[in-house]
Amino acid sequence: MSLIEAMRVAAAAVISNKMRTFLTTLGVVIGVASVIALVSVSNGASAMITGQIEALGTNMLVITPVNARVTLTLEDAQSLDSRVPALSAVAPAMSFRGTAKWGINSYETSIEGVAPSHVEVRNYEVVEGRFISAADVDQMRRIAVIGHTVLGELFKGRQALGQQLTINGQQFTVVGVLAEKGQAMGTNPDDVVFIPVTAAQRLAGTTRLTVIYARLSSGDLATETVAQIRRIFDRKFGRADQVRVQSQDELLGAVDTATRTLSLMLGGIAGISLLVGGIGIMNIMLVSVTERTREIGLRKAVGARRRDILTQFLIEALFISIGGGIIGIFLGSLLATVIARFGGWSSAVSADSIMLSFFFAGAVGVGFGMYPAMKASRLDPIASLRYE
Amino acid sequence: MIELSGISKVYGIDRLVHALRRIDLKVGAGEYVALMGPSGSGKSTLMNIIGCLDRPTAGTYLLEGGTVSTMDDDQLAQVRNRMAGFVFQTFNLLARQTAERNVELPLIYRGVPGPERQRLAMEVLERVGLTEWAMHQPNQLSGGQQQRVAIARALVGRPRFLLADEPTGNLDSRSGQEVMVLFEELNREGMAVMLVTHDERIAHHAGRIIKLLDGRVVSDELNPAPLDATAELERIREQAHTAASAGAGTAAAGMADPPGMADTRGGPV
Repeated sequence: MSLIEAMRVAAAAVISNKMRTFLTTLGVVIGVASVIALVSVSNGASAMITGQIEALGTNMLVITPVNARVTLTLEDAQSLDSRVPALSAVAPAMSFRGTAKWGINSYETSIEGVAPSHVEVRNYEVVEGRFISAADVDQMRRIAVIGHTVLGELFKGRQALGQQLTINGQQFTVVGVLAEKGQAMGTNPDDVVFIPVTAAQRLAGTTRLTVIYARLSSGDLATETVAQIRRIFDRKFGRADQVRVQSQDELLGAVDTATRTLSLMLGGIAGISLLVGGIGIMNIMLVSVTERTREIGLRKAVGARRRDILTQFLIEALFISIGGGIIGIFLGSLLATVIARFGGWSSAVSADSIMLSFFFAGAVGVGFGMYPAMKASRLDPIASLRYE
Repeated sequence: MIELSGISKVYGIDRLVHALRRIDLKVGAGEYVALMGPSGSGKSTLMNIIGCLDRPTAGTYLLEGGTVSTMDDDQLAQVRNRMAGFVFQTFNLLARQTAERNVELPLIYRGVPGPERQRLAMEVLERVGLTEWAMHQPNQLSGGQQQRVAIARALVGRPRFLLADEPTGNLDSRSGQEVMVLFEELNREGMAVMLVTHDERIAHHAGRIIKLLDGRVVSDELNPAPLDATAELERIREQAHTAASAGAGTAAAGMADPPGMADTRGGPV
């Protein structure tokens, strides 16, 4: 029997039982759709996080206390600046969540107390007014530079420069507006109000810093510089490992490990659902073989060989699984797009995951269709013809 | 053409059932043979072996000079495809396929291309008088029509012999007789026909009657005066006619069942 003939017969069988075929296909559809959607979600999320880390700026070091008992201060930032020549800029920051009010508008955002170097270290750009100056920090001036999102949310696009806004009950004058940096995932770099770090500390009633950003003059010096920074803090605290010094590479590595685990986990879950779909196919194919025992007997009587019968049922299983695979790819892509819109990252349905799930669906069809097809091909024609 | 020597068939592992015991049998080309015997006599087993659906436990089966008894499953399938045409009691047509597609089936497994298959199928459908029913599905055909589709399917590959297992068993007497007329005509055209039946009257259409009992041939005789199937059909029609004109309410008994009222015992697969 030619392949085309076998496909014709299989197609007729698949079509003749529409509801059953649909339900069986659904297993594969859900499996493939979840592979596509989940892999895309994990890829999209990891691309977004990676993008954010890269947006921190190149050759960036991030110094954070390991726990709440460890205190980083402005003096630490100053001593790093003067004692570590490999650092081109040091940007201390003290940030907290706070509510900014303007008139009757109120908006909860990230309040970050920073130094003048911040604009350079974090790659911000001022479009209106100016950024925080050294004098602002020294004199604890109550001025603010607002991010693009805050401009929209609080001032609704009106002139913000020179306006007074209230942060946690204190009045601040807007002296600068930042250019839009673009939505990165999770944390939006435009959803921020910068104030002088000293003013932030006073507002929060503390002398702590939450983080010190430092920029390396050259990436080659990363290892020695990190070691030097560690030594400075080890000496200060009298014990080792009180601060975490992370380079951008390290952060990327950590994110990479985390997202790879996430991908594997999501892929595993999706794979299991595809497996369940495969079991569904096997089940329905066994039913189909039993139902059509007499047909198989007749086909054998008129000259069908084992492999003719095998091909016929294998193609039937493949129709269900590959059909399900194709529908699943469309559904999964749609799902990935919708989720990406909510998650705020660009939907990335990779050709890889489409190919992978397509072939996986085919493999499921062959794998789970093989046993029923073998069973059919081995039926004894005489017994099959008598089967009631 | 068919040459069986010392054919035995034993079933079972613990309790052995001897379905056939050392059968010797020769059937020539163009013969019309009826195989008779009560159930359990081994006539179906013998038929399956002759039709290459089954292999004997012992003995040799030569078909057209080829040793069938030692072939594997796929070789047997090919022999069945080329040599034998099967007609079953229950028709065994594929449901949801037209009569024409059903008839094509043996040619599909022979690798005959589509247009050629259709041409040959229509040719044999015409031969059995079903040209205008070619595009109907089995459930739209009467039992007699279904059996004629099955005969067309058996004929389409130009086999060396027809094997019919109780071909009239699920038909009313008139449709059954129409089938017998068809067999008679085909035999006259040179086709070897082997009938398995337990009906004496059906068996008497054949030129040779072989009787089996407990797996052995108990008689193998030529039938000096075979029944004329056409004349029989005429007789049945007349009976039905007189019954109908006599106004008996049971007139339908002798008539071909109308389409859509196929006998539930037989029917599509």
